[in-house]
Amino acid sequence: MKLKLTWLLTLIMVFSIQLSSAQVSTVSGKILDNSGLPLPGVTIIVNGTKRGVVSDFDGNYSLAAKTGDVLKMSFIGMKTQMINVGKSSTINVTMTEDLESLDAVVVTGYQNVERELFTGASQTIKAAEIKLDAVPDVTRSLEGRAAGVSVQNVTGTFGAAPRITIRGSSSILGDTKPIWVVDGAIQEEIVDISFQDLVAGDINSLLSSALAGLNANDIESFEILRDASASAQYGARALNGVVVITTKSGKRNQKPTFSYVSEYAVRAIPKYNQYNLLNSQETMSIYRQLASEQVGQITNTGVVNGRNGGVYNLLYNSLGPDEQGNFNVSNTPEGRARFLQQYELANTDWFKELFRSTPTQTHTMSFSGGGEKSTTYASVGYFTDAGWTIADRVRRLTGNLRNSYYFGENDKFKVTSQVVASIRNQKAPGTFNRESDQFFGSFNREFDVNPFNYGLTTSRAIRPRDNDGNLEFVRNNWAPFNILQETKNNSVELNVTDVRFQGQLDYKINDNLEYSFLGTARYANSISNHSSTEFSNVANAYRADGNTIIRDANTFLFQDPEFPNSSPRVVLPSGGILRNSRNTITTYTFRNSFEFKKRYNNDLHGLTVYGGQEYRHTDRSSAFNTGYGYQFSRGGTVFTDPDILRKAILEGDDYFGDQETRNREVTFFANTTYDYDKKYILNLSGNYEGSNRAGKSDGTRWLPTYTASGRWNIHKENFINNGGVINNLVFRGSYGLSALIANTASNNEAIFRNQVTDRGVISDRENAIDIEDLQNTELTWEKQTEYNLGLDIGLFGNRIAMNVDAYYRDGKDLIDFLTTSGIGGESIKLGNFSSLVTKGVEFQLNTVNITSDNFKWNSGFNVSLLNQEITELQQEPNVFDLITGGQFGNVVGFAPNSLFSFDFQGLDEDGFPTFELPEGGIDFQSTDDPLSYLKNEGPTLPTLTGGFANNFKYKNFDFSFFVSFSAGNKIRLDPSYSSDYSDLSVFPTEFVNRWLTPGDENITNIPVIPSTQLIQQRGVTDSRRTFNAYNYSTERIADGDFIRMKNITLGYSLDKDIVKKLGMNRFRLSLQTTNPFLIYSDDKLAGQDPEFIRSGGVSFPITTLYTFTLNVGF
Amino acid sequence: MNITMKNKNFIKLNIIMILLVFTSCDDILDESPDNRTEIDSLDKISELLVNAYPQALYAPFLEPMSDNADDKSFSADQTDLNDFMYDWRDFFDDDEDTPTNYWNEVYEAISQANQALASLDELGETNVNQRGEALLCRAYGHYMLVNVFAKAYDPSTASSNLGIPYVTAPETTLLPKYSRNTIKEVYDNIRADLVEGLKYLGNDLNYSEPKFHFTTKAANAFASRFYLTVGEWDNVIKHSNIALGSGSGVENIRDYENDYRLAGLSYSERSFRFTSSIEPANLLLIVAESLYDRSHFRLRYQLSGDLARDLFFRGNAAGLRWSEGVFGQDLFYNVPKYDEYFRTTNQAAGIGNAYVQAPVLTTDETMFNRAEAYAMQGKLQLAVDDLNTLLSVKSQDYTSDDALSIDNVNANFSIDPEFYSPFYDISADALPMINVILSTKRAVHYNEGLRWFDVKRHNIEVVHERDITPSVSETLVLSKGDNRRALQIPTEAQSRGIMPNIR
Repeated sequence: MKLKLTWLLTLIMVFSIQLSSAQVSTVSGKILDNSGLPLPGVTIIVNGTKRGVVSDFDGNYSLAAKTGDVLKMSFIGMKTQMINVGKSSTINVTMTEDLESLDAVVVTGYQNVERELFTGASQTIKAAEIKLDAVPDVTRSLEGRAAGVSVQNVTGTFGAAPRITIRGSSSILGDTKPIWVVDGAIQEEIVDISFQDLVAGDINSLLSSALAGLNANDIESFEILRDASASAQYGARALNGVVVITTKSGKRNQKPTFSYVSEYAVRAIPKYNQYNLLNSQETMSIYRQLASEQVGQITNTGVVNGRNGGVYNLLYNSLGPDEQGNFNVSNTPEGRARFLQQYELANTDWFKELFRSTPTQTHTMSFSGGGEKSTTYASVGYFTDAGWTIADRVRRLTGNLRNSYYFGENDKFKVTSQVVASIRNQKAPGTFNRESDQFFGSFNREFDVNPFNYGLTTSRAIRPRDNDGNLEFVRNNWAPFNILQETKNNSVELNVTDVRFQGQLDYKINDNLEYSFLGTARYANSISNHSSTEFSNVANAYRADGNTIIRDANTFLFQDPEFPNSSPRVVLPSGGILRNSRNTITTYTFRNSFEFKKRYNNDLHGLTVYGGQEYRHTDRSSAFNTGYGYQFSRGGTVFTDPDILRKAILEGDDYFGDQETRNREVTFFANTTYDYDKKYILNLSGNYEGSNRAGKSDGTRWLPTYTASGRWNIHKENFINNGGVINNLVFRGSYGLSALIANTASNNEAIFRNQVTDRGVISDRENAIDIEDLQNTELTWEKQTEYNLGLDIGLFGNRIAMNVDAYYRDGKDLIDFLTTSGIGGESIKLGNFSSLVTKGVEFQLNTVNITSDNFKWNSGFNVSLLNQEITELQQEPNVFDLITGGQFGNVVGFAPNSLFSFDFQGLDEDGFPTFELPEGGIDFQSTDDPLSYLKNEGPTLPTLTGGFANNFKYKNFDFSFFVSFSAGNKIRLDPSYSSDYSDLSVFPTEFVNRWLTPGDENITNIPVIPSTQLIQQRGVTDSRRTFNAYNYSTERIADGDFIRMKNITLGYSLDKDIVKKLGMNRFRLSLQTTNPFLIYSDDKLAGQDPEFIRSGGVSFPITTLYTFTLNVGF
Repeated sequence: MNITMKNKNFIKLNIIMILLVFTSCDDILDESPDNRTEIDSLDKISELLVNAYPQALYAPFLEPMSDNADDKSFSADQTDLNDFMYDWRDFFDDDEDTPTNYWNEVYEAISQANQALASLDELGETNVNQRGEALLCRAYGHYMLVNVFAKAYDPSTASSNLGIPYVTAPETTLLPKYSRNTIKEVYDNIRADLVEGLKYLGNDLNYSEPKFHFTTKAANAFASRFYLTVGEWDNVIKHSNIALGSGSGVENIRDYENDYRLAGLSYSERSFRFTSSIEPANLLLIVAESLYDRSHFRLRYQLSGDLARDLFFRGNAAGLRWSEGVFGQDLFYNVPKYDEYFRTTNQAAGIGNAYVQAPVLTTDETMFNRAEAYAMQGKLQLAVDDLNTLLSVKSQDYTSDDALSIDNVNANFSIDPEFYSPFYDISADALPMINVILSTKRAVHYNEGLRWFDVKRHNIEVVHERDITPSVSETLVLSKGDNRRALQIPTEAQSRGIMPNIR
C-alpha cells in the first residue's frame, strides 16, 4: 500500500507537472468593436491583480496570464467583459456597446461620479447628438434638448447669448443665467449684463455669451446639473443652475486620428410676405390721407424743416429749380401726383437690398492621439460669415491644445495642460444705446441702421436709388439719409481675443486617495470701434443748420450758455465721430482637492470623501472714448472744434471713461458618499463660500450651503429580479440649500461713489462723494432651498429609458427694491425681502424603437413644466415696467417679469382707443395701484418647454429631425401705432381696416389716424400716450406658444471598407436645415418670431440655415 | 511604510497650505469689488458735504399754497401739483418738485451730513471746518423739514405738537424704526447743531465753491432765519450783522436796478444772474432736479394779471416802479428767476435730466429779517433804514428823497391787527413797520417759496379764488391755525409707521 500510494503521488505529481506545462504564460489577441474595427485603448486586467495592459492602435494586446485567470476587459461606453483564460493563448474579443453605461459617469466639474452612485438630478448630453451645424455658439444647440432648460433665442446675433434659464429664474432682480463650467473652471462672460441689456440690442450684448469663443466641434459633452444636490459644489453660485462642458481629449494608446469637418451654410433672406406690411401703393394712399387738409399730419413746412422726412420731403425739395435752373417737377396737382407716383410704384424690397445669401463657412481640423504615457487633442477652427446683411460680418479663429502625461509608478501622476484661444473679428451695424422713455412709454434709439429693423420699419415707398441709379436720400435728424450709404459709414468693428491656459495635476497617493490640482488663467479682451464717418448721417446731423427753424430745433448744435442771446452753431464742422470701447476680463481659478475612495467589508460598504478648496479671481474693466472730428477719409487726422467738447462736458456727456470691477471668491467644499452594496446611497455635501462682493465689510462675507440626498437602486434588489424586463429602476431624493450673492446689492457697508456735481456753469462744478447705498448690515445672500424627487426607469436593456424629476424650490431673501420712509436718506433701497416659489416636473423618454443590422431608429422626448409665483415682495412696480415685462415689473402672486396690458375697451367716437383707466388717465410712471386697471397676460418665460428627436439609420444613410416646443408665455407684438405718423412710417396690413368715419368703432379695433386738429384738441401728450398705451394693450398681445422644426439632417457615410481603402476611417456628408419652419405659432404674430425680441441696434433674429457638412477622419 | 510616511507628510503639507490660504483669504476678500471710494481723509469728508445740501426745490409746491398764487383760469396750464397745492390738498406723487421729493432729498442731504460727522469721529478730527459745515447742513435740513411738514413754531405747543424725526446718525439697517420728535425737540436739536456748528466755521478758504456751502456768512444768514422763527430778536440782529457785513450792506444785496435793469440784461441773462454764483446777494445756492423752469410761468395758479398788478405794477412801498422786471403777458406773467441746465444721458435722443440752480439763502432775506427784528424791538428807525437800503436798489430811479420815514410807514401801511398773528405779540407801534417789511419781502422774494414761511410764521389767512366753470367761481380759505398748514407726511413714510398730521 505504501508503495502504491507513493506511485499515486508520483503520478499526480507528474500529471501536475504536465498540467502546469500545459498552462499558458502569455495571452494575446485582438479587440474589435461591434462593427468589426480594431478598438484601441481597452483596458485588460487580470482580475484580482494589478497586472494589466491597454490594447494598442490595432486593437492588439498581450499580457501574462495563466489558465484559470479571469481577464477583465473594460472600455468606456462598452460592456465590461470577464473572460476566463482557457487553454488557448489567443483570445480575440468583440466589445459590445453598453447602452446603460453610455453615460456611466457624471462630470460635475469637480468630480467624476459613477452614475449609479450619483444622487442629484442631472442630464448628460453628448455634443455630437445635438450639434447644430454652422451655428457657432454652442449654447443655442441646447434648445429643447435638456429637460428643465429653457433656451430662448431672443437675439440671433453672433456673440449674443440666448436667454437661458434652468428651472426658471431664481432671482428676482439679480442674475438668472446659469453658470457655465468648461473643463472644471467657471467661464465668465466678458461683460456681465442683465436680460434687459441683452435684448436692448446695444453693442455690449455682443459680449454676453460666455461661450462665443468655444468651437462647437471641440465639445464632447454637456452635463446639466439641475438640483441643489447635483450642483452642491458650486454652493453659493449655483442658484441658477450649472452647465458643465467637457471638451474633447485624446485617449491613451489611441491611433492618431486626424479629422476635418467643413460646414457651409446658406441663410434665408427675409421676405415681405412673411410679414403683414402694406406695400408701397397702399402706404402712399395713407400718406395722401396724412397730407390731406383734413388730417394735416404731413405739411409743407413740417416736411421742409422737420427732423425726419420721406417722400414728401423729396417732393418739396424737387419743386425748386435744380442747379441748372430747370424746374423738373411742376408745382401743379398733376405734377406733384406724377412725382409721387414713382414712389407709389417703388415697392422697394428692403430685404433684397440689405440682405445677402453668402454662405458661412466653418472649418475645423483636429488631431487626437495617445501613446502609452500621453494623450493629445489639438484643433484649429475657423468660422467665417461674410454677413447676412450688408452691415454685419464675423470671423472667428479658435485653437485648442490639450495634452496629458502619465508618469510615475502605476501612472501615479497625471498632468494635463490645455490652451484654448480664440480670435474674433466682427462687424455690426453702428449703434447707440437704446433709451427707455417712461414718460411717453416707449423705447428710443437714434440713428439705428440695423438692416432687419430697417426693413420692417421703413416705408416701401422709399427707394434706395433714384431713376438714374444714384443713391436717393431721405431726411433723418435734419440731415440726408440713405441706408446703403449709412451702413457703409456707420458701423462697429469688434475684435475679441480670448485665451485660456489650464493645468491639472492628479496624483494617486495610494489606491484610495488622490490629490488634484487645477489652475486656470483666462484673459479676454474686446475692442470695439464705432465709426460714424464724416459721410454718415450721424456726423451730418451735427452740421444741419439750414435755417433758423432747424438751427433752433437741432439738438446737435451748440448753444453757448455763457452767451444766452447767441444762436446755436455747428461744432462738428469737419470729420466724424470715432467711439472706441474696450472690455477686458482676467480670471484665475485655483483648486486643491482630495478624493478618498474605498470599499469595505467585501465591497459591501463604499465610501467616497471629496474635499478641497478653491480660489476664483475675476477682474473686469471697461473703458470708452469718444473722439470728435476724426477724419476717416483724411488718414485719421483729428480736426476738432474745441466747442464740441464744451458741448459734451456742459451736457454732462462724459466723452471718456474707465471702470473696473473685481470679484474674489474663496470656497471650501466637502462631499461624502456612502453606499451599501451600491443599492442604498447617501450623499452629504457642504460648501463654505466667501466673496468680496461687499468689499471690506466682513458681514455676510461667508455663506455655508449644504445638501443631503439619497438614491435607491431598486433594480439591484432581489425582488425585482424579473427576467430582465427592468434593468434599471432608481429612486432619488435630495434636499439642499443653494445661494447667490447678488451683484445688485453689496452695501454691507455704505457705498460711497465719487461724482462731479451737476451744475450748469463749468467753473461752479466740484468733486463730490455720494452715498450711493446706505449701510445695510442685514444684507445677505439670496438663498433657495430645493426638494427634488426623481425616478429613473430602464426597460429591456435600456431600450426604453425614462426619467421623471419633480422639484419644489423656495427662494428666500431674494433682493428687490423697497420704498422706505426716506428718513434714513434713501427712499428706495435694495434688501432681502422677496420670496419666490417654483414648482416643476421634468420628464424624459428615450427609446430604441428598432435596431437591426440595416435599420436603426431611436427617439428622444423631453418635456418640462414649471410654475413660478412671487410670494413676497415690497417693491411697487410702475406701469411701464409692468407692460413691458421689465426688470422691475414684479407682482406678488405672479411669475417674475409677468406681462400686463392696458385693458382695451374699444374705440371711442373719434376712433381713439379707450382703456380701463384710473382717474387721471394714462401715466406710464405711476406706481399708484396699477393692478387695479392693468390686465395680467401671463409670464414672459415659457412654462412648458421640450423637444422631440428622432434618429434613423438605414445602411449608410442617417436621418434625423428635431422638434422643439415651448408654451405658456406671452409676447408683446411689435409697436406699430402712434398718434403721429410721417412720410417714412410703415403700416401693418390691418391698417386698411382702421377707423375712418364715426360708427366704425362698432366694427373695428384699429385706431384712427388722427388729424392734427384732433390731436391738439385732445392734447399732444395725451394723444401720444393713448396710442402708445394701445401698443401695450390687450389688443397687442400674442401667445408665445410654438412648435418649431428645429433641424432636419440627412447624412451619408461611406462604407467602412471603402473608407479604409481610401486611407481614412470616416467619411460622412450631410445636409442639415436649422429652424426651417414653425409648425405652430400664434397667428397674431404674423411673421414675428416668437423667440426673437426686435430692438434694432445689433440684434438679428435667428434664421433658417441650410448647411452642407463634410466630415472626414484619417 | 515608506510610502505612507511620505503620504502623511504630503497631507500635512497640504493642510498647512490650506490653512495658509484660509488665513490669507480674508485679506483677499477685502478687495473692493469696484471703483467705490472710502472716506479716509478730511478732503473726502469735504466732498461728502458737497451733497449735504438738499437737491430739491420747495418753491413749486409752497408758492401755490401762499397768497402769491392766483387763478389764471382755464386757458392756463394745469398740473396736478399746482392744482392740489392751490387748495391745500394732500399730494403724494414723488416726482421732482413735489413735497415727497423734498422730504426724500432733504433727508438724503442729512444722511450725507451724518456720515460726514461719523467719519470725522472715526478719523478723530474734532475742531475742523468740516464739522461746522456738517452740523449746519443737518440743522438746515431739519429746519426746512419741520417748517414744511409740521405746524409753525409756537413755544406754548411745541412740546406737544409733532415735528419730524431728527436724525443724527447714519442708517445701518434696512428698515430702522423712526418716529417724530416733538417740535420743541426738533428746534432744540437745530439750535444745538447751529450753535455748535458755528463754532467750527470760519475757514471759508476750505471751500472750492463757497457759494454752494455754509460759509460764515451763509451760516449766519441761516441763523438769522432760525432766530426769527423762534422770535429771538437779539440773535436775529447779531447773526444778520455778520452775514451782511458792516455798513449799510447795500453793496452786498441784490442790485436789481443797476446790475439787472440798467445793465440791460435780457430775460435769460437776468435768470442766469439771479441764480449765479457771481451774484453777491446769493449766499447759498442749491442745484435741484426740477422741471420748474419749464412750467412756472404758464401754470394756472401763479401770477395772474390781478396779482401782478397788486404785487408789482402798482409800484413798491417807496411809490416807485420795481426794478425787478415782470416778463410775459396775461397768462405768462413771471419774474426771471429760474434757468434750466439740461444734463443729457443720451445725446442723440435728446434725453436727460433737467436741473435748476436756486439761491436758498440771500443777503436780501437776511436784511428783511434784521429789519423785522429791529421793528419788534421797537428800533423802528433802524428797521426803516434797512428797508430803505433794500428799496434803494430795487426801485427804478431811486433817490434819497424817496426814502421812507417812520411816519410814512405809520401813515400808509397800517393794517388790521388780526392780519398777523404770530405766537408773540406785535405792538401797535411796530405793526405798520412789520407790515411794510413783509409786503416788500413778499414781492422781492416772489416765486422763491419764502412767502409760505412768513404766511405760516405769522399765521396769515390765505384766500384763494378759483373758477369752477367759466362763469362760476369758488373761494377757498386757509384759516388761521388750519391743520393743512403742515403738509402731510409722505405716504411711504406713513406706511413705515410715521404718524400722519391731523387733518
